[in-house]
Amino acid sequence: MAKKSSAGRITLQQDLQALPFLAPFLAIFGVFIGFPLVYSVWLSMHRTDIYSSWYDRFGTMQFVGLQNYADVAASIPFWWSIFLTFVYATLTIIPGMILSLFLAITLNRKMKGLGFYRSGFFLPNVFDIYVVGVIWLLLYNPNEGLFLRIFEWVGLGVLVQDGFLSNPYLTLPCIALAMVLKNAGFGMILFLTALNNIPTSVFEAAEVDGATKWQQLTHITLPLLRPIILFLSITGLVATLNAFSEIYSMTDNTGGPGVNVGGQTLQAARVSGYHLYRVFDDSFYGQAAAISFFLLAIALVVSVINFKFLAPKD
Amino acid sequence: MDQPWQPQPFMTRRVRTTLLFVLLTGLLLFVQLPLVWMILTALKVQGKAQTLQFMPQRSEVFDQELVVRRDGEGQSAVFEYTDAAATEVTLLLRPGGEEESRRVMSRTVEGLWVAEVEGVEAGLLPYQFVVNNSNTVSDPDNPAEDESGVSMLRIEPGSTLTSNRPLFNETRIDGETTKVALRLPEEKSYSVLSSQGESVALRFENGAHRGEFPGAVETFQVVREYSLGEAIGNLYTLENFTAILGNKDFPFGRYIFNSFIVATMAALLTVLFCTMAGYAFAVKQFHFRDVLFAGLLASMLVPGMIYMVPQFAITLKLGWIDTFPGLIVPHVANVFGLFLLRQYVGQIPKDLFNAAQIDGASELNVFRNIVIPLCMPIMVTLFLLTFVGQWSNFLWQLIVTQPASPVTTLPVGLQAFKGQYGTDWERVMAGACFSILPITVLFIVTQKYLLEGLTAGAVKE
Repeated sequence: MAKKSSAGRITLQQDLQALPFLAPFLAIFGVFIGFPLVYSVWLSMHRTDIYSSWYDRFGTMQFVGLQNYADVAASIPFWWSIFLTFVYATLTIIPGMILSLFLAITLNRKMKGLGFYRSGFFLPNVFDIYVVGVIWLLLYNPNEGLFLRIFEWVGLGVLVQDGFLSNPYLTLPCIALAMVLKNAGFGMILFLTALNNIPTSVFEAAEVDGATKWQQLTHITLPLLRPIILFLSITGLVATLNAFSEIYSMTDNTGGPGVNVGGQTLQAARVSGYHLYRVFDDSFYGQAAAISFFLLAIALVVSVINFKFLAPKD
Repeated sequence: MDQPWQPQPFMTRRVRTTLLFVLLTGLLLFVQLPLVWMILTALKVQGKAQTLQFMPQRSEVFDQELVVRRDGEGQSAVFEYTDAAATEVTLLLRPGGEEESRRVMSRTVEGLWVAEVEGVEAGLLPYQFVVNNSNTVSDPDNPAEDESGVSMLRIEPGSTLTSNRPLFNETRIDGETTKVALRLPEEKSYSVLSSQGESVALRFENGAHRGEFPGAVETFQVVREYSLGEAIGNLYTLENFTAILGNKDFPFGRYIFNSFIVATMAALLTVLFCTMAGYAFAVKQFHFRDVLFAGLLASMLVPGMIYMVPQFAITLKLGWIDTFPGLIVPHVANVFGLFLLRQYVGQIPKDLFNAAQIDGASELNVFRNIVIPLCMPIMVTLFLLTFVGQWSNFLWQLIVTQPASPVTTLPVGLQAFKGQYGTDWERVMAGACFSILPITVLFIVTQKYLLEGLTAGAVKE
């Protein structure tokens, strides 16, 4: 942390000097981040009165205790969304990591056009997820999209006769592919930075000892990249808990094709972030707040693992 | 001395490098596929989005086969009528009379409809055209009409062929050759394709496009030849962009302006507040400083979704739905930005602040003359990060604006536009360009600063 106060006790005058600089940030933080955390707790114990006016939704809510939490815990759509979130996380994080690592190792050398390739692979990261999703919707178009034409051209049209995003087994993998390609450049840059920090003498020594390129990768590079790999998998998992825009755009705000789950028709791409939005959009604000605390609990478990692995070993 | 024998490497260095470039370029194209596809689709002429055609077509074969006329026995009359938009045209002979009859006309090239009536008698033949089975019209090319406006064709005794206007197709076999003469618009160019596959270019001469097949040809097809400019114009256009900017129900110009205001204001406020607070946390002494900072950092672990409902409730309570403050203010307390700035200000030598204090500089002057100039690089980085983030903050913008709100931003406007014109992909992609292309340009120009900020959080142990 910052340096210890060496000038002895902190005076009220020092507080007053710091205050003008802190006030704007802390005020907005308090109103829009600090207070919401507390307010969420209140919300999660209340239920919307269906007869209230739109502009006073939150003024007329009724106290229901822990009922919302009980409802969420007993809700099949919620657990289905959590299951899908982990499926989606697996589909995005592992292929994404492999692609990022491949790009980083390939681009970690002296070659012509290095900057061009690095920027090119990174560029999609700054695009609007919603808009990119709409473009993929066109590419995956079930009647005449590019991907359908490619499958037909190589003679595999029969595989995708149910479409891409409209086939419940393909919806999430197809969304995941789009997101992996969009985000791979970010992991690549992180890996590149870490690769730069490995002294070349390590590899030279390994080469003298007769290690093959593959042995150098598995015995030197990968262990040294472990922190980045863990960072990417943990942040990736927390990010998938929030995944919303790509689902919204690529399923046209339907959540994907319906599948039968325990007697209910649920959507094949209704991951937790999108499920939360739908509950919110249906004006179940209390239940939405309760769901977000379930997500927080999952994120905290993930973060504890995060700190456990990332804490400096020395 | 002989060189010691060495095994030949599997691939030479040059081959390996080439393969590497091919692989990387292929991968890059795949990663950039959405960008490429968006631009290509946005530039296509309406209806050609899904045709998978990218190369402009220099020629277009008309399906209809034209027959080379042979002089027949008796008398015949040929009727021609031009209407490119019609789907069906019928020739009505002797309308209103006892012998009224109809002939379906066949469509030939360039919106030209033709019907031939054999065995007509000398005298006046009244006729009209029925377009799409509903509109009855008189012949616009023949001024001869009776008192009720019905066109009249005069057939001279002894003539073999009469026509309501100079014949469109005057091709005839002349000895060993087939002389093609087509009365088609002068400004266009054509060639003809015989059923045997011979192709002959036509030249405009003496009122018709003319050419010659070496042998006797019975049927042939007309091919429209396009200049390069015409060919490109048939496939690509900027019309999608102008149409979108001129759309009354979906004011894209307004959306772009709103998104720009939201992203710029949010970025400016974020940079200002984060720099002020970062300076305080790095340099100043105050109660609970370290606890407070740790608490702020901890809030970064909470999934953003948890804030969605309460932030919406507060914004609603403040009356900020459908306003710029509602779009901007909730996101300007950026803890990651504060962290970046605090680290950066912390690197400024303390002596600088001490010296300023001894010189009696005011707090404001210290901030303005020391902190801001020295932190400019990281401030630019944070500005860009926030700008990019808010340009794309779809979920929040969707929540705090109602349909047709005056502050609708680009992603939300595009979403509404897509709801209405979902299959009009050329227009939807033109709308997408307005979101993607400015950010692409911004990234290309400022990538050094952007990458620094995006990776700072992860790389700092």
